[in-house]
Amino acid sequence: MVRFLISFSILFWFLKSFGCNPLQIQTSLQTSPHDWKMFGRTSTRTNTVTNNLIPPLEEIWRFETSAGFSPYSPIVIDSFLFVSDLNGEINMLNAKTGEYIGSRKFGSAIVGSPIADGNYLYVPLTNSKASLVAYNLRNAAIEWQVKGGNIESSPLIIGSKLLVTTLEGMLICSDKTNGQSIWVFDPSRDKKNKSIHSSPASDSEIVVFGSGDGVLCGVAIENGSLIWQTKVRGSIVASPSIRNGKVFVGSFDSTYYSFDIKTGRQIWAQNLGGIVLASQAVNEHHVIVGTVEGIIYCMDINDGVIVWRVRLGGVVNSAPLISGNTIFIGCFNRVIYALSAETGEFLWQQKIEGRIRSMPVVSRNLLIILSDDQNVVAFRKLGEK
Amino acid sequence: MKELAEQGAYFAEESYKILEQKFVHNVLIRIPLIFYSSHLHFQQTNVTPGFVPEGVGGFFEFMKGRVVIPFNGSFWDFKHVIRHELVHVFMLSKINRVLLDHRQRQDRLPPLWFVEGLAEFWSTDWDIQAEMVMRDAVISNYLVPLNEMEKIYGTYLMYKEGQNILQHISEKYGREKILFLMENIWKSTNFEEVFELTLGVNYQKFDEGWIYGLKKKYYPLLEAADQPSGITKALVADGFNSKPTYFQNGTQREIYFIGNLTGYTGIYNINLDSALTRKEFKPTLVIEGERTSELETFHLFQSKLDIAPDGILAFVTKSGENDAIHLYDVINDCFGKSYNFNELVVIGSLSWSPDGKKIALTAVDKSGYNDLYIWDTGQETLLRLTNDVYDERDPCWSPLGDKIVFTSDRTPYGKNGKYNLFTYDLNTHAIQYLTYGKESYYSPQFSYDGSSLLFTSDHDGARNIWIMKLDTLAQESEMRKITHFTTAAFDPIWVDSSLVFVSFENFRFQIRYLKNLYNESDIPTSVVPLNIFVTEQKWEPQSVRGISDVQSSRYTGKYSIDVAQSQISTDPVFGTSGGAFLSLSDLLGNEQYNFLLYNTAQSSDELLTSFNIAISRISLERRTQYAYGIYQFSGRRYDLTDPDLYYYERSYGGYYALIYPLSHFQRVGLSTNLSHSEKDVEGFFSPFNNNIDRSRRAMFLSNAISFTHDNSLWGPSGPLDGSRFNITLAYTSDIQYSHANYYSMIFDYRYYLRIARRSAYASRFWLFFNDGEESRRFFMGGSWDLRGYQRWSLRGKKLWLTSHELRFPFLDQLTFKFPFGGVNFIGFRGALFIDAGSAWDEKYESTLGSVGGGIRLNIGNVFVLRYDLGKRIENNFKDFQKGIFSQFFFGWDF
Repeated sequence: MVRFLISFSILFWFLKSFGCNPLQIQTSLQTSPHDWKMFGRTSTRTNTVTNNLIPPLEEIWRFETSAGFSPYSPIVIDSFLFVSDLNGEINMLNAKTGEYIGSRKFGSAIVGSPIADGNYLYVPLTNSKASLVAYNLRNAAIEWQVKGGNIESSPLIIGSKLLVTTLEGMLICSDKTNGQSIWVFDPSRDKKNKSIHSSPASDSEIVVFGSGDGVLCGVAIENGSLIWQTKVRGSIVASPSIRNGKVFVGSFDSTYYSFDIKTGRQIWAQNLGGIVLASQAVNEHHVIVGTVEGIIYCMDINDGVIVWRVRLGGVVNSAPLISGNTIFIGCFNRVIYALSAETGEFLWQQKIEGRIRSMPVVSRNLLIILSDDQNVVAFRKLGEK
Repeated sequence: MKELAEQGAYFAEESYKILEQKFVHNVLIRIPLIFYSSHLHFQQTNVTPGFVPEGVGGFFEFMKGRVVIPFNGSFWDFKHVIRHELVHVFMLSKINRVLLDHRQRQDRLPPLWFVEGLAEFWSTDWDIQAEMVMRDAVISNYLVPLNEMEKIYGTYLMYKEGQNILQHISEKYGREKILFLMENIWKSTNFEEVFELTLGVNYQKFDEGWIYGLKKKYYPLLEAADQPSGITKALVADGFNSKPTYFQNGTQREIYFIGNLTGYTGIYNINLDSALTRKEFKPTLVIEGERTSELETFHLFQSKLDIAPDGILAFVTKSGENDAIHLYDVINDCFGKSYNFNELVVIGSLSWSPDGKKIALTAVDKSGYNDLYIWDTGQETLLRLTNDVYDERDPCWSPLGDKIVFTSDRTPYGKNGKYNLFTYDLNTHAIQYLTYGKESYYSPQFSYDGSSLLFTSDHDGARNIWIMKLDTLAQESEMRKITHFTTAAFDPIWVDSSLVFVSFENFRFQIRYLKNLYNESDIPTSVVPLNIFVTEQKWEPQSVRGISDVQSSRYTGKYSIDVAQSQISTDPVFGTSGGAFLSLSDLLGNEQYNFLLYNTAQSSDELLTSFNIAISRISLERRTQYAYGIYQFSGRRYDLTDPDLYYYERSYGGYYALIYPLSHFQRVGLSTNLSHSEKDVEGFFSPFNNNIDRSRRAMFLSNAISFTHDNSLWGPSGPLDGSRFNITLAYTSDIQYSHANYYSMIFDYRYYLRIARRSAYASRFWLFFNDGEESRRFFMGGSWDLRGYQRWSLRGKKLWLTSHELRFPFLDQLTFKFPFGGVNFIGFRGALFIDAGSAWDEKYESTLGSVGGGIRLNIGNVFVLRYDLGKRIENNFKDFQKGIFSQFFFGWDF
């Protein structure tokens, strides 16, 4: 009996130290302006932070996961970094040190970034029986889960409403507390083309998203009614951003667009010569986006005039991030670049082992990137402690 | 060749940049590209085992990621094939990446129609050839829906349908859907489910829209154009036929052509008047090819033959190491001279001079470039007329003897794969444009008086026959369209005032006749002025040198693993054994090393003595191939004597073997093996019939010589034509203890007589002979030899067997359709057989036999399932057995 107890204790300690801890927080999350609670950081998906992380940077930690990542970013709340992967697992790390804290498998691939709200994580899943899961981080338990369609985008929370787009071509609004459907927007168009990979963005009144048949829709959050829709020549796979009453999005037809959020009227269009798969970063004056040709464009948000363009060393498949005056962007040539937001000048670059296909995040003076060799890598300003 | 490699590297780098964006993926490892300066050398590559067939334009070898591509003279083709193979590289890399990201096994690929369809779709435009095939498939009603694509697995039609499907998906569903089809591959092991998840429609629903769209596009063509069968007479309707040439043999009008009607390509002829008047008319085989090394292969569709006014037919085959020109007297029905050229590797089309003394030809030299030459048959001298990077084809000597017309890609449109017509003036050596446009022109043929020229062109979207007058002023020059077919016409020739040509219809290349050519010419369906207005400089192929640093170094083999396998097995008789096998080869596959290690110890004290190890090296680089190795084998053995004996044997030694191919069809082999053997018999044995000493040591020296011949043509379950033969003589003696001393002979002859296109009579004769001390026994019995008897149940030091079998198609297709799905079996073959044979040691006992019938089914070209029923013939071939036997097994027909 004593031997059994000793063996059990050793086994328990071993599993606790080296095995899987639950995805659980001991105290409620403390939110701050540095948080990155959702893809794009806010509901307008502008992918900008005000704090200026100035390169050069140095690597301070890395964490190896067991599966690959989508083009979406991880999320950071309080001091916790949540990294979801294509095997359906979310790893929770200490954002400062990279130390593993806990994890949970949700049973199917997580493509879109989850969204954090209070002590909850809302996790979108694809190819799964339950496609939207509300996970209570305090209890380490699933609060509710619903099958709403296959989701390969990031959810959005406006008030108590949880909004998701699905591959079946619908925008679903649910009550975030219990998952019950409030309304569903299902445009009756040709089913085969209207799948939605694009994450919805919102200015709190209108939610905007693009679909595979090149249609951009503006829908009222209040009741799910269609306010406007507009069509471009190519599919819209990227997620739109909203700033200053304008919607910004790129298309498969190699054109980048800006529309009025209230009316859907096209304000400007700019031919970029290469397919736009990734989302963009938008600050006060400029919109920054990359194409599969590996060129980063900076355009004036008012008229779309190209301010500067820079060629990187490979395909760009993820959104850039604006941190103050610096743009961070990853590339398939395994390099993370820092460019001047004003001029596009190369400020810093670092080669890592895997392709960078996911959007980076900056939180609390850390740059966190996901590499396709299944590593999470964190950088901070060189010499900073 | 170095220049060619640098040009290929340029195309590869250009393709990489394009494919990186199309796939939204990059390949991080270096991709080995192996270029050959001719298809002939490419066919002999060691990267893949066996010969590469003539129709293969290049391949991507999945195991080590090698891309192997020949150059055929055309830079456009070179660029296309490089990009096609790189699509495979990217696709495999991307799919593996997706599966790895989702923590799934990387053992899955999309179906072949998608793999090859994507490679075509992303490497080339929808061209005239693709259009020809799809038009024919739709109009002739043999288009295979996506739902049934396995029926045309691996065929050219599958490539083109796949390409068209991808194009349809891109246009109707969105370009991004093609990417998603790969990125969603993790969602299901069944690609049809992935397809439905991605596009929102299943195969059946997709087919409805796709096929309907094709019908809407192609059926209206029949309003303004015709299928060849609708308005012309077929002279040869079956098989694949090309390059006809006309000869007036006294009063007989004869057409000679290269055809493949049975599986072997050869030269046939037809009497034109008989073919025109009789309902059914079969061509006569004049020269049989692909059976001997002198006429190893005809280059079907590529190499044109020609007949001189005195009846000497000139044609090209691969003969020995390179191509050769052969002369054949069609009047006296006998062969003339053959000409081999050291400097020419592949020879294209031929054209006699009007006086029948010289031949104009195109040929590829060792550098890979395809140029124009003249061969003087009297002086036996070769004159090179062009020497550049441009691809020359289809020469035709004018009746006046002063010019040669040929087609070439030397216009600026040539860099996009367009061929135009040129004349070469034999007096001034000047090359002049006859056409100049962004369409292609081929197969020029002068009229008898040299005033007109027939040719084919894809000017109007399909390849049809046109005519131009050569005796007009330049500003009045025009081309007039003679045929207006929905599919295509090739190789037109003048036959008096009529036209004989090759057409493509119902996926066959048929030889057809159009009466009264001048009628069609006088009322052409289209007239196009020929304005030669040269606007741009000639193009030059680009090279990677100049845009990046190029280093070249001599090839040194870099080895990598082919197979690494370990295994543990357990057997109720022999116990447990475990071991590993490792095989390495170099990048070109020229050198192989194999390592085998296993242990059969049953207890710890046997461990050291029970090691089995073998190391061998095989070299395939040169024509003489050799292998050598050392080994030690020890463990318990089972010798099929009567009664059966177990014994322990330890043998160690080495061997050396040589193989020298005399030709594509024949080879000789030599081997020598020296090994030390210690044998201890254990268990029960009969003192009245012991074949081996209880305990024996020996130093065996075995020498063997063999000759093998094989020119067989294979059908779905086994050979249908040709013959196979092997004779091996060996002598083994114990040079130290004189315990063994025996000689062996193996005689194996198989002959296949073609009865019909898919039927054959096959016969086999074996005589195996071992005689001397400790000579081993041979085994027989079972589905692979003497049917009706248990496998290996007949044993003897001498053995003979004869088999005679009628092979025929039994059931072309068997389909089971259930509400939830279906399964399809294609190509059941039947057989009726009689076998006879015997096995004995010293005294011949009796002759055994069997008679019966069976069914064979080829599974994926990997193996054949076989089921036989019949009666044994027993009692020295006198009585049938009671009842019947049945045997179910796998294996190819003999």
